[in-house]
Amino acid sequence: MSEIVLALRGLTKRYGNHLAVDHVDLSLEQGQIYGLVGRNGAGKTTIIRMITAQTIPTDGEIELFGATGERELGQMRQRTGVMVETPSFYPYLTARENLEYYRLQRGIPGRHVTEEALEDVGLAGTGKKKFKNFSLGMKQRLGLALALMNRPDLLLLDEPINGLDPEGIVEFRNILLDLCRQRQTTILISSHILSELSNLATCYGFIDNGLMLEQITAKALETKCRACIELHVDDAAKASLVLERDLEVRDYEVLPGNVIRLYDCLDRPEQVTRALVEGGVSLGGVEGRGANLEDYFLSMIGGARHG
Amino acid sequence: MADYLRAECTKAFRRKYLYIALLVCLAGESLLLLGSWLTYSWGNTNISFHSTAVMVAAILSFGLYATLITGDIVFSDQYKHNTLKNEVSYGLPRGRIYLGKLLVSMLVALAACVVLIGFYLGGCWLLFPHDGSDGTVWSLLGYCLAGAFPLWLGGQALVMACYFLVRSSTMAAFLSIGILVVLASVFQALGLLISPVFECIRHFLPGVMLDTLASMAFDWPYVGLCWIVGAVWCVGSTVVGLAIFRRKEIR
Repeated sequence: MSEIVLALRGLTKRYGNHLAVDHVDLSLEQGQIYGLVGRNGAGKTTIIRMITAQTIPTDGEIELFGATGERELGQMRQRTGVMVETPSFYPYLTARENLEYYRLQRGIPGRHVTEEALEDVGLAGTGKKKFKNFSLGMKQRLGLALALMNRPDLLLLDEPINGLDPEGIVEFRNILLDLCRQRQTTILISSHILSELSNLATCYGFIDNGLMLEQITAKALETKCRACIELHVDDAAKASLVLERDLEVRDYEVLPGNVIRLYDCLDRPEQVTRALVEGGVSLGGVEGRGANLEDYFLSMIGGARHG
Repeated sequence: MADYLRAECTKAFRRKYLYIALLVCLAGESLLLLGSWLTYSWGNTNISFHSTAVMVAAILSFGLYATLITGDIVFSDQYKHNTLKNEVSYGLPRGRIYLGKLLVSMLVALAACVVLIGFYLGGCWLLFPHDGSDGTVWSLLGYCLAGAFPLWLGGQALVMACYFLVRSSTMAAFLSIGILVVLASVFQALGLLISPVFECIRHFLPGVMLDTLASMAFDWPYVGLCWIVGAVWCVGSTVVGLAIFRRKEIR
């Protein structure tokens, strides 16, 4: 069984009467890329800020690499790399000076670490350009360089691709995938760009109004979102028999309420309906289904709001 | 802690801000020396090393105001630039962050103090005649600096507490000035209007003690009192500042 890198139990943050994070449970195993999905103000950043000690939780427990006490958590945080919201550095220092300052402060030995971090994110050639003159994309890259400088075992990234150009996004994605593959780095990433998140994440947590609505692996989500024909029939057993016998369908599932999801014959729905009618099955409805991460998330928060 | 102090020193001592502030102060001192030297060269026989050097004792309060600048140099607008999150999120203990910056601000203040006082006294020593009272001058300056040093450190600790607790550096500076300077006038008024207790408390404010120090020349128990008061301000400000900073939300 993989090591649990990060576990949150009943994590709660209250600001006055506003419950920003409401008893969130979360668990990350080594090597996972966990995508935290939610609208603005859903509580994603607050969760990451509590993990990184920027905000003190009102209630609940954080376990990092098996440690829970305040002192031990502090030590374990040195195994993390963090990028929360817009990267922040001293505006009057260059990229190299900023990183060198943090390297010294963190007691990371070797000046080469700074150079390597700059090279990794493509900022080695910025010379004497001060941070205040950086573009948003360059700032993001420097933020990532700082997060990666200590070769972290856990990366916590909040909206990390904001401001990156398309080329930068691809580079960024490759860096993360390499880290995950080669070093088994665990990553918790929140992003609004769900299409990008779907290229990375191995599991997802959907959060709204501070509540964790659902946690699901990418595989399970893929199954849920897979394109299919949904058939509402009067007799699912009879319909299954017809589908297997007449159409040689194998890839389908029967859901409660006499609903059948058919993953074969997607290009010939009329043939399916004809076969069922001829086989004596009464059809209550036929609809094409299939969703991407965005649709799934929207249907979920829609459901949460109506529920 | 050693790594933290090294990083803070590197940042503080490579800031132009520190050297510009020093240059401005040195320029002011140069003007003062030039004015005295012109007066002396025009035949004023009252101008000597003694008369010019003892001016240091008259402007001890300046050191208290200077702690605003040294504090600002080290704290570096952390809240404006949101840079504290880089330190906290890496797991550096908040106590180390607070005490590290406080110690470095004291170190920077000490270095600036040595440069400024050294430059001024060096100028006096070289430019003006010595009348045989040099020993008295050094004794008086030694006495004043021995009393002023702990009060400046107390002031520095208070200023750093304000920088850590108030998000706006400008507001933090105003709050520091309010406590270090305006509070004395408030206590004086309260002493007259309400109770003499306030007047009594006023005498333990760093600014008031610095103003009194030169007139209490060679009263060594008073220097001892300065150390006690300085230590109380230093420890008190740090304990309160650190306690609040430990729970403070970092953005």
